[in-house]
Amino acid sequence: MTKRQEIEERCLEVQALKGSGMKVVEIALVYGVSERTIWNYLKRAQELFRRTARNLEQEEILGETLKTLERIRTQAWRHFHLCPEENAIKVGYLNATLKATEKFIQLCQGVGALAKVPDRLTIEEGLPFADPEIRRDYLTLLKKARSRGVKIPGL
Amino acid sequence: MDTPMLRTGLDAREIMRLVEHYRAEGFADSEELLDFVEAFWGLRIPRVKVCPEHTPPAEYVTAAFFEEVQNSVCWANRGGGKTLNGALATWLDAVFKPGCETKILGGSLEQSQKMYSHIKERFATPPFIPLVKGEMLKTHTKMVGDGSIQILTASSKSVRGPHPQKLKLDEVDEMDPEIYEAALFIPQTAKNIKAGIQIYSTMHKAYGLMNRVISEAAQSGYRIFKWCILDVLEKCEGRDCYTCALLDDCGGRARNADGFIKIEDAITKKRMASREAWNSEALCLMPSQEGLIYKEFDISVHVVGNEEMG
Repeated sequence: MTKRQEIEERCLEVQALKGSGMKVVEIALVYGVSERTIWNYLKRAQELFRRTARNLEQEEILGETLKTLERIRTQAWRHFHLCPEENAIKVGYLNATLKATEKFIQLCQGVGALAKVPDRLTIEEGLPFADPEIRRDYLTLLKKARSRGVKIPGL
Repeated sequence: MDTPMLRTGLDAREIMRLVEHYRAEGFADSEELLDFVEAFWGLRIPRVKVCPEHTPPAEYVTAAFFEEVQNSVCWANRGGGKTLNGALATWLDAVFKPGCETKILGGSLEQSQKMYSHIKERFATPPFIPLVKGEMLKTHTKMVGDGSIQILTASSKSVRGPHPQKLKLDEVDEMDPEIYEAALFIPQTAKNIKAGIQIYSTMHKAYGLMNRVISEAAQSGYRIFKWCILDVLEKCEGRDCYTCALLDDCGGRARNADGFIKIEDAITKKRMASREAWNSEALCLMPSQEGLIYKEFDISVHVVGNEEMG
């Protein structure tokens, strides 16, 4: 490790100690240097942070965020399917899936990767609710279950 | 029951899909809306017309939701479900009309909170929670799609603010007339949702604000939805009319009722209350004269023009 690298590392350590709540005078005692030296280290640490920020690639940040959202969405969707009971937790997972998808789409739209955002998100499998008869029967089923004291998930 | 229905069963995902379907496509008719309310919240709103001159509460809920009427007044009995129906109409608007904003103003902050707490505790059930942005706060809720519900304190400062599409005024008979006047300027049509004012109250003050609202309803363009205790009474079965304490008021009409108030409760209330209070609070017949110095005063009898004085 070169002298320069050693100093840079020291600067970051000092910055971390300051961030943890230690006073400059206490940090100076730890390293056995003057308070003025510690202030110089802190100044240099900030310059280092600024340089790092300048070097960050926008695409890289965007890619990381999209990857994170995709990971949240996939995991929440998986947990939703694995949830054995029909309860609020299961609904929560579904909620998290929908929210992560929504954020994903918003982000894509924000950077121009998506031309049009869907007005609402729907899950296509399941009963064909477009059929009025199915809807009527389903509502009747819910009412009947309610009147007989059957526990309906989420209701 | 249909085979796919049994196969799919009552799972949370299907329930949320049904909600999404209604959000996208709307309800086919009033019956479907009322069935949805009953299935999702276990709330059976009385649908039968019991008194010929009154309207059943279900008619108000559907007219408000389908915007058949912009401004309306619900003049109903105590415990007749005015606040609950108001809360339901507010929640239905918030959920199924993206971008619909509502402000609730009560005769007091407590009254406003009552309607809001009905929404929070009774209607904001798990299938609808994903539609709430963040959490439901103490005084307001933001919805996905930029809708919102907010309660106002009964002060002139709070009624001067942004302009949502819907305004609910609960218990106007208890409201300061100045605040009421200022509140009328709140609603404004936006995002294809019509502006509307919905008022809910009993009329228990002879010369109170509700009396004025009702007298000027036709001129102001308010449609009146009026129901009394008989319209929300449970179905009367197996009782002998001639020994029933409600015979004078009911005249057997409760045989067709489908409401929720127990007949026994109605009888107890009638026995305990004075005739005037029963008439105004339960039957919505006329405002109570109680508390007035000249109870018998009647403008039509006791006020004459100069020419009649000779």
